Amino acid sequence: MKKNFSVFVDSVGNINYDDMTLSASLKNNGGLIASLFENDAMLRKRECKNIFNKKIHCLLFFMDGMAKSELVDESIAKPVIELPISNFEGDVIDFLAENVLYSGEIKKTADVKELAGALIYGDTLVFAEGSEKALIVNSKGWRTRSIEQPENEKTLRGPKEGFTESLLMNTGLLRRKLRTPDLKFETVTLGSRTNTCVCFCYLNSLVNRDVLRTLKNRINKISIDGILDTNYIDELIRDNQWTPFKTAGVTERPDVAAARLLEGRIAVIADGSPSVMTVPYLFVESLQSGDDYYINYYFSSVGRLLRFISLFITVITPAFYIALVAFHKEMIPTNLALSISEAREGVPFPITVECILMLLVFEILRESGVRMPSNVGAALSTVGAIVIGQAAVDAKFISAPMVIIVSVTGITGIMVSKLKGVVIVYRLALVLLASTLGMYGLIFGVMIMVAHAESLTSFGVRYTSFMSSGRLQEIKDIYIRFPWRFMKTRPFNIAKNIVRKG
Amino acid sequence: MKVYKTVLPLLLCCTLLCGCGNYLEIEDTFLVSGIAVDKGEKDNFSVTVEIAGTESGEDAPSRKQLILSAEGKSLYAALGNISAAASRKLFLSQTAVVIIGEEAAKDGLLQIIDLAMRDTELRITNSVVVAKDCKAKELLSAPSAGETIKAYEIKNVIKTSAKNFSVTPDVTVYELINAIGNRGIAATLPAFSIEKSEKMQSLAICGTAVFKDDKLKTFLSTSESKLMTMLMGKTEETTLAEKTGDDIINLKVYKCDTDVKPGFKGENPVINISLKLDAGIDELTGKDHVLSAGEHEKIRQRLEEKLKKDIENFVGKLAFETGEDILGFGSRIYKKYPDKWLKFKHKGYLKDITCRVNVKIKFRSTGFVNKA
Repeated sequence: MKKNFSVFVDSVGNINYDDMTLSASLKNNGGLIASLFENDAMLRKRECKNIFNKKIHCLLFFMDGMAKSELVDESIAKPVIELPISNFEGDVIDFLAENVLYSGEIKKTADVKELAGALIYGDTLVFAEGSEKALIVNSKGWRTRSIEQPENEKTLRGPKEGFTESLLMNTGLLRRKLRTPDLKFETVTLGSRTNTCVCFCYLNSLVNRDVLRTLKNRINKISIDGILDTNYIDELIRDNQWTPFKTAGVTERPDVAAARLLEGRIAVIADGSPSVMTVPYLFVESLQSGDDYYINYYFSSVGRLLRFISLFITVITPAFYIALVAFHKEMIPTNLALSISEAREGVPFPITVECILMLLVFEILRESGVRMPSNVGAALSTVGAIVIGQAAVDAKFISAPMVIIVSVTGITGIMVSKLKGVVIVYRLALVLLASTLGMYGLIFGVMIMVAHAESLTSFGVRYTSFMSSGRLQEIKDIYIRFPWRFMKTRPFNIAKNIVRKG
Repeated sequence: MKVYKTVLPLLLCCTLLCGCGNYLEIEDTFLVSGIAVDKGEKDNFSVTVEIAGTESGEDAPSRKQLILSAEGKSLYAALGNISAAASRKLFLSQTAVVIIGEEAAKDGLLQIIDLAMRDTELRITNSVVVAKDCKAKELLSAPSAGETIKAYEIKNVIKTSAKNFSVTPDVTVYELINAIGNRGIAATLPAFSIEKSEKMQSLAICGTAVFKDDKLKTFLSTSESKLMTMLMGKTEETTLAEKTGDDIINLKVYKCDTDVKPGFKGENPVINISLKLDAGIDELTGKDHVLSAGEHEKIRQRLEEKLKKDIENFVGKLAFETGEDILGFGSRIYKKYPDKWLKFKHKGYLKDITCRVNVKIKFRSTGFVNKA
């Protein structure tokens, strides 16, 4: 009695599982599954009977490509067919689960929704003649990418492995770093169509309960049909919708995620994405790198200071240059003023237009560098460096100082790539302010930006925590990195238990 | 909503009512490097500005100067006349020096310096110099000995000479105003002239211009200027020479501590000047090349005597010939003994001040290499 699939579906496309019930008839149950997965060419159906006992008559369903066929063959089909079964008592399905199947993970259910979900996720469904329930037998075995070093977060020293698209592999990687029962994994399923498994991990004795409660509340309110990456979650649950600052961290490295858990943060892993979100997230984390802790602290402190300076340079330089050249010419040292004046002689555009054009060109080059196939990289750098730099200056399209300004801006911008969004928006805003209001506009803009950053929170924790703290213990990992010997506490407003070492 | 209602008007005030309003890109201006002020032929002033520009060369652009000139009733009017004729706006903030012609300086500095002090673009830290034996604008078009932009050359010459030779101290606009306004001290300015020799012409410091109030009175020679700088306590490094017959001693002074102590002897003020010099012998020609310990001491004493005599002569000349208190003896006494000074003060007071000079020279790094 095969029904048409459309019977199960309501007007908006949601599948109504309430009307579906299993019966004792193997034929009915098989028909139900077959009609639910109508037109799905990947569904595999296998009927098998025990050679010693004709009463044992089973129907197996599994998805090709999701289930591992060796497991279906060896630990499900083979014992059902070959084991010498004479007589048994009770329900046939219980007997199969307890005495026949070899698999380590078996679940009995009559819920069609659960059965369908498991079938899709690679498990094998076992129906038996005469039983109103079915078994979900673990046979997951799809192909995943192997563990590689993340392209975006390369380090010189330290662990090189990165998260993959498989949730189980990712939780495994984390667990290997933090081998304690204190490490907790909780899962929820999000997305009405993707049914993505989302897992929060935290260290029970360190996590800030308020943050955990807020996170859970917000995640439970999510209503969306698909979650393909943790960024979907971030955008749906962030504290301030419109700020360019990221208020949730992202990492592809298990060591970074583990270090954040050790500071009392919570990691959110979504199945299907190697990007792991960590909350709460502070501004200073954008300027920290996993590398900082794996190399000598003098060296990493210099690196971190450079990142702070770079942030400042990349946001301010173009606006500062415009303010100087257009408004405050007396502030330029005389020789430089002469050089700039000479270079700008005959350039057709006002300095603001010139600056915005060049910034645009740089962003285009950067973006095309990210998107292009790797084998045309050489062509791009030639176009970028020679055509746009040298030729444009020679042709008097733009002035040479502007090329220098934009290059400095670009290079320093790459150093603080985690703040890319913030930097682009603010840089442009400052350029516009500086070209209308001069140095006053620049200072005014910076003040507004700092005030905005200060007003942000990440899951209730102040976003710019510790940046202006007067307490020594709190700034030991902010502008420079102190040796581990001296970093005795965890961030006090994130972790519940702040003593890191005695 | 409440936040927007309060914050938004404030933001609008901050952006619409304030800000810098002088948008003018740098290439649309003439960067003025120096201003020369002379007495005009038809009008009160003849003002010449030197504009620093660049010229595209084969490889690197080179400097080029542009000189514009106009006359006017006042400095401001003359500058306005230049602007009216110029193709771009004159930008005065990069100016390095204000040069005042001898004739114009004799008529009075205040009417010239006033603009430099008041104008928002002109800096009060600009150096002021006087052109001696030539017009101020001639200095700007003098043949080059290095810099193309003459104003920067003048500024450099003042700085180098102030540091290495301490001929005459650099005087900025505000220092000049202070000196003119201050009773008990007379204003001085560096004097520049064009040195003409057979093969080259170049700018050089030729001494110091001495003012009575704001009017040019006389010039001091280079050697007198050196003594003046020393007595002002502004000497950093300098050279001293002494010549007797064939014997020439050149002394490099590394450090000069000047101590001027005013006092009173009865009704009359006394000035005690004590100089402590650290010096080394740079050159010693003549017959006695050997520097034994005794010889060493003899030379030192001779030099001390010589310097002491020079200073006494110089101070005497200031009192009896020049009559201007450029060393600020009056103001020093006034600061220490205001009541007595006010009682004593009279026209030509310098003549009645007794001056005692004490000079000590210490040789440094002389006689180190001695093959006994």
